[in-house]
Amino acid sequence: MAKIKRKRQILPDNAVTSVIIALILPILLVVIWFVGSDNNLFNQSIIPTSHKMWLQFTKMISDGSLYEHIAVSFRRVLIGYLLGAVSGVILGILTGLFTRLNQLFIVLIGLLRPIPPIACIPLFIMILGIGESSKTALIFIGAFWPCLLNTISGIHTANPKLIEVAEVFGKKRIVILKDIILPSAVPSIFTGLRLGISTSWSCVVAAEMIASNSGVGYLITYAREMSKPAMLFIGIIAIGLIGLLIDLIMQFLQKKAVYWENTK
Amino acid sequence: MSLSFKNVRKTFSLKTGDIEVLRDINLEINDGDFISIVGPSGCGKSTLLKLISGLDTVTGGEVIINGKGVYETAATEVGVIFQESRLFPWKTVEKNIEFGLADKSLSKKQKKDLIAQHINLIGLNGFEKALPKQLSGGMKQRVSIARTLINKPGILLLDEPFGALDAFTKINLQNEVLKIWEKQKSTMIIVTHDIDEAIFLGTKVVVMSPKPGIIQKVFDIDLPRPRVRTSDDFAYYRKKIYKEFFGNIDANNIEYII
Repeated sequence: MAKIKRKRQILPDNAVTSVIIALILPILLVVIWFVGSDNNLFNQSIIPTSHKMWLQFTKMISDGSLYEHIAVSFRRVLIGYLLGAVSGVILGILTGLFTRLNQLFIVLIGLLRPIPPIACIPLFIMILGIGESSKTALIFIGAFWPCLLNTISGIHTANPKLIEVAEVFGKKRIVILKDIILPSAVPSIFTGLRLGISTSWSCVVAAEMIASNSGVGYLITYAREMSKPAMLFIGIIAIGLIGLLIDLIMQFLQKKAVYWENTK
Repeated sequence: MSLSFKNVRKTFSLKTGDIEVLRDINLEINDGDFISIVGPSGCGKSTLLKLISGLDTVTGGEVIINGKGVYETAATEVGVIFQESRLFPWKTVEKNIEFGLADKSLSKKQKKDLIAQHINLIGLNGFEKALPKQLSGGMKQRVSIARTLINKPGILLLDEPFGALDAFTKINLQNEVLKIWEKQKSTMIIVTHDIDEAIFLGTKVVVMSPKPGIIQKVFDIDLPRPRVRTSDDFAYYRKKIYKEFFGNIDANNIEYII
């Protein structure tokens, strides 16, 4: 009889191990960067040395500018996202529930959805000016579509067999909605919320790059204009890190909200 | 509760034309009967149950429950157990059972007691707060039974309720359903393709045949309870019903046909 080979494990299978493995590549990337630029293997006027990065970083921390730019962008995202997500989910529920409403909106949704939010920036600036409202509008759009579309499809995923159970018990429509259709839609709604916030974050950066004097998007445009590569990299890394952080928080909330599913 | 089918017909309209699912169904079911309906797939046995629960409507004839039509009968008078437990995955055992409870006049305390009593009945004490994903198939089906029984329905319809369970769990649950039937004296109708199950449970076994679905024969099962599956009397009924199904076909080939 053939022996079944057992997988040999060097590291135990737990959360710490998976975090360590996940960090290998990012750390490697930074090591290559610093070793390369510190030893003049890369063009130092584009790829800053570790020393320059550190100086720039501590300066931006001590004068509070990094925090300020991040806070400004964050506040913009929060406002636009909340408005976009709430209206996306509510409109999604209504459109998902009522066939007539779905028929009314279907062409409009089909037409508007493929337009990248960033393509709306010139229009928003023309209508709303270069102030906060044009940025909020852009973030709103970024959050709105994923929330709307995923909510609609979530409403449609309700299992007809479960609805049949409610019918057998003679339950009213409102009970079917509250106890079956809405809970069935929660996983999909959360997917929309997650996609929405990452789109919102991309939108705020784009809006700030085009017309703004604050925020992380502005920070990187300003850094390029002033030829400050260290500042530019700090801006880019901050954008990436915040995006990652937001997604981790959303994943955590999703697990809490969809407690009945087995997720890995 | 008593139940009668009078010249019931059912056809499904498809694009390719009408399909006759049930033809001239006449059946009298007395209060407290346990009716087993057996037949090959496509004989309309599940449709028959849907006509009683109101999930589907007759094309012709009528279904009478205690002298009244199906839609004049309160939904909670007729309970249904499906093959899949159909629990709500986001509700705990307790909340799933509470979903079934229709009586709104009960106080919170009365509700709680009633739910606890039914959890006790199905032997799931300690699992009140468990989610369906934490239960085995048999446990889930027990919860679904409790969810239906909590309204004390006069008629209980069981649509292949143990079809997805392993042999041991199945026999356990059959015994428990029998106990409930003897205690509550409700009318039960089970649809199954398991002939042993039909004989073990039923006061009558209704054999149906397909294309179109008709009642081929009704057997009165005159066996004392508890019934013993290995007894000669049991084998006698088993043989009779197999014969009804397959005529003179060699019994060894039966499994292929099913």
